[in-house]
Order: sequence, then structure tokens, then C-alpha cells
Amino acid sequence: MVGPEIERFAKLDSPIHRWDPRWKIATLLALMLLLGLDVRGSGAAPPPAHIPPALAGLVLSAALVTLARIPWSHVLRRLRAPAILLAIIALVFALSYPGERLTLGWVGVSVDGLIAALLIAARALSIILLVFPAFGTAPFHSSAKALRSLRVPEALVQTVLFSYRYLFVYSVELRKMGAALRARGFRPRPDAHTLRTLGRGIGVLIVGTVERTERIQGAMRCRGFTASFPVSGDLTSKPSDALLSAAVLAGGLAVFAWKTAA
Amino acid sequence: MTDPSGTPVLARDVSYVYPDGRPAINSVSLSLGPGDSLALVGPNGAGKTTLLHLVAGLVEPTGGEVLVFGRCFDGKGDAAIRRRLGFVFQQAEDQLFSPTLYDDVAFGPLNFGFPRDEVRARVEAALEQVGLSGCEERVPHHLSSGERRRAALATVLAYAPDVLLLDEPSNDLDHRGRKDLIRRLRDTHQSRIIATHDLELVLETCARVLVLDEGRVCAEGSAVDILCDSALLARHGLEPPLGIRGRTPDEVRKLLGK
Repeated sequence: MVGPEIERFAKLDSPIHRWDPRWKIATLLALMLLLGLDVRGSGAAPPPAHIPPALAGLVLSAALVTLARIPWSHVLRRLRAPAILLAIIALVFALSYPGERLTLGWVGVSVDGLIAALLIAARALSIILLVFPAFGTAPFHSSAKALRSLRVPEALVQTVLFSYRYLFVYSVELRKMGAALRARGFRPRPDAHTLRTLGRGIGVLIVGTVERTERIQGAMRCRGFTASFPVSGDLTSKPSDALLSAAVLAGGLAVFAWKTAA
Repeated sequence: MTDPSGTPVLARDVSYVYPDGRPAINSVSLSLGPGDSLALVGPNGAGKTTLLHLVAGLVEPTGGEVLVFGRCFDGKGDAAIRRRLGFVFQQAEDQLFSPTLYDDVAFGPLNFGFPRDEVRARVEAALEQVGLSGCEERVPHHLSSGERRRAALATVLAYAPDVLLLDEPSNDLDHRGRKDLIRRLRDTHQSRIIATHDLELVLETCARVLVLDEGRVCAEGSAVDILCDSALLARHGLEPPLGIRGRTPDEVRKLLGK
């Protein structure tokens, strides 16, 4: 069975898991903003003095992941794809950024480009790391409830919730379809037959999705659904939630102040 | 048009044509009184599910009318009508769309405006009724197919509708689950329409049967009389349940204690 990957560590016990999802999401989104903001003027070259606060932000994010007890092996596996993207950006910046150049063998790399790439990588990784404690430490439905409480538009929450809910159903169907194809001797090859078969399979899945959507909508209407989802449980917050938020935001503000002063 | 008698379900000359022009239901009439149990039987594609969808107001008839407790779906008082109907879909997966089983079962009662404290009690009672107590926090798509089927039933039992519309309710159930379902249906006071191929279930839970084929009513009568008529059933691709084959209606009535 395909499991909900984002919820894999939602049932652990840690201060981050015990944090009220509303406080947690609001605080960590604010922290993402504080760590990600670039306080330089437009067009200015990236000063090397910005590197230490950017790395401090990365350490703060990593500390929150550690506090959430999410295994680093899992986190590092998830970081592979963004790391590849960041490496490509670093390469492009190093080769194409204007300013002083450093000669490494036969190739000249831009110092400012390297600094800019390092800043982007540190900030991007800080933000990506925060996604783990923000959305991986509570069941997804609790996070959705929190988003509603935070006045995120209902349509957006419903879209995310349904996409999440049915992603696994369609993954299972895709796997079943693959098994049915293999059972009848299908082996993907670089030829027109393979493309035709896969195209038909995906087409059938999409048509099936539309039909299922209509049936689900019917099932919802039958149970009185009009436009908004009823919220079945109440989230409760404790003083410790506010304290944790204050501590995390203080860390974020310190990094931001350092960045601004640099 | 209204029906002042407030019969739970009354369909008069109902027809439905698919958007592509194929006829699905052709001039079907039926009535379901309080506490009545009616089975819709027929071969695949006979129109059983479409007829249930028409009764539930999910599709609009292209001819005739459907009245539920004397009112038709007109977009104004639909919620009040829906509150009195409990539709369990053929595929339980379509009915279970929430992140947890609790949310799914609570969905109907919350939409119909039950107080929050009462909703919790109703959810617990409905889950207990279907043997899923303690599964409130489980993810619906992680349930087994039989559990999903029972959970789908709980989603409507939670708001205690007056009429149950069940589409192939014994699909995916093992022997014990099926027996439980039969016992539950026999005990219920609610009027019900069951669309099914499971003629043994019909014999044990329904008083009347309507045989549908190609969207038309081909026969209607008591469950025992219809299910003992091998020739009629054979004409419509059906077979009498094993336990009553070769028996007369009177023998079957005696057997069932009816």
C-alpha cells in the first residue's frame, strides 16, 4: 500500500509534535519569510558578510528538524532533488555572474556568483528544512484544520486536502494498471506501441478520475454538502504553544537583524 | 406537483436519457411506503443504479417526477429532503473522502446541523453498529474493502435517515459481514430500496421486488413470488437463490417463516 509519505513521522512525540498546528504553521511560515528575505538593495553584489547569518538560519532550521525527531536519513533523502537544482543554479551563477573572477585551472568562476549561490542554497535549504517540522509532525487533516483556522481560503484548503486524499488512491490504481499490463506480457520499449499503450492507460485513468470525481461529488451532496467543509474537531492551544512560537520567532528575528546589520 | 400523503418515495413515469442520447430509464413508476423494503434486481446495465440516483436527486429525470416525502428536488428545499435519505454508493471508495473515518462519519451530521456533542455520540454509535468501534482515527483508504463497505454504511446511519438507498450493499463483504448486514437490515425500521444482484440478500431483507431490464420495469411483486419464478428470472439473466431452487412460493414462505 502506498503510504502518506508526509505523515510518516506524524505520530512521533516531540515538542514540535505537541505544538498546536495553528501556532506551528503560522510561526514556521513567518520564520521561512525571515530566513528567506534578501535585505540587499536591488542589483547590489552579495556581500560575504551575509553568509554567516544565512548559515545561522540553516542551523536554526536544522535544529528544529532535530527537535522534531524526524530522522535525518529521511530528510536527506528528500533533499536530494532540491540539492541537484541548487547545484545547477550554483554552477550557472559561478560561471555567468559578473565581477571579480577566480581562475580554477582553465575555467574562471565569479566570486560574487559563488557567494550568491551559497546564499541562495543556504536560504533555500533553510526554508525546505522547515517544511518537515511544519507539515510532517501532525496528521495532514490537522494541518488542514489549522490552515482553515488561519483563514487560508476554503477552496485552496479543499483542493489540497482532496489532492492529498486521492493521490494515494490513484497511485494504487496506476500500480494496478502497471501490473495488469505486465501480466499480459507488456514490457516498455522505446517504440510506438509502448507510447500508445501508456497514452491509453493514462487516458483511461484521467477519464476514470473525472467520473469518480462526479460520484464523490454526488456522495457529498447526498450528505448535505453545499460549499464548505464542516470542521469536526476543535484545536486547543496551550500557553506553551505561544512560548515555543515566541522562542522560534526570536531566533528568526535575530538572524534577520544580523542579516540587516551585515 | 406534490404528494400530500408524504409517501417516502414515489416515482411516477420516470424516464432518464443519458447525455449521449442513450435511454437509461423508461417510464418507471414505483412507490415505497413507511417501513417498506423494495429490491431492484436485473442484469448489468438494467438501470438500477441510475434509478437510485434519480430517487436521491443526483440526476434530474428527463420525464416524469420523483417525490420524496411529497417533495421533489427543486434546488430550494433539497437539504431537507436529503436529510431524510441515506444513500450508500456502490463503490465505498466514492463515499469515503475525508482524512479520517471520524471526519467521514461526522460529515453528514455536521452538514445537517446536528450539535457538535451529539455528532460525536452519533459517530461512535454508527461505528459501533457496523463493528468499527475504535477506528475513528483510521485513514479510510487504509481500511480493507469489507471495512470500507461497513464504514460507508456508518456514514449514513450516523444521521438516521428515514429511507436507505443501498447500491450493491453486499459487494466486498465476506460471509460474516454479509450475515451481519442482513441481520442489521432486518432489524432496521427504515424504509429501504436495495439495488443488488445478491438475490439471497433480497430474499432475506426485502418484501417486494422490482425486476428491471433495459430501463423498464419487467415485473413487480412480492420477493418470494418473484424469486421463485425461475422462468421470469432466466429471461432477465438471473437465477433463483440456491436455497429455494425448485420450491414453490408457499414452501419458501414456510421456510422463511413469513
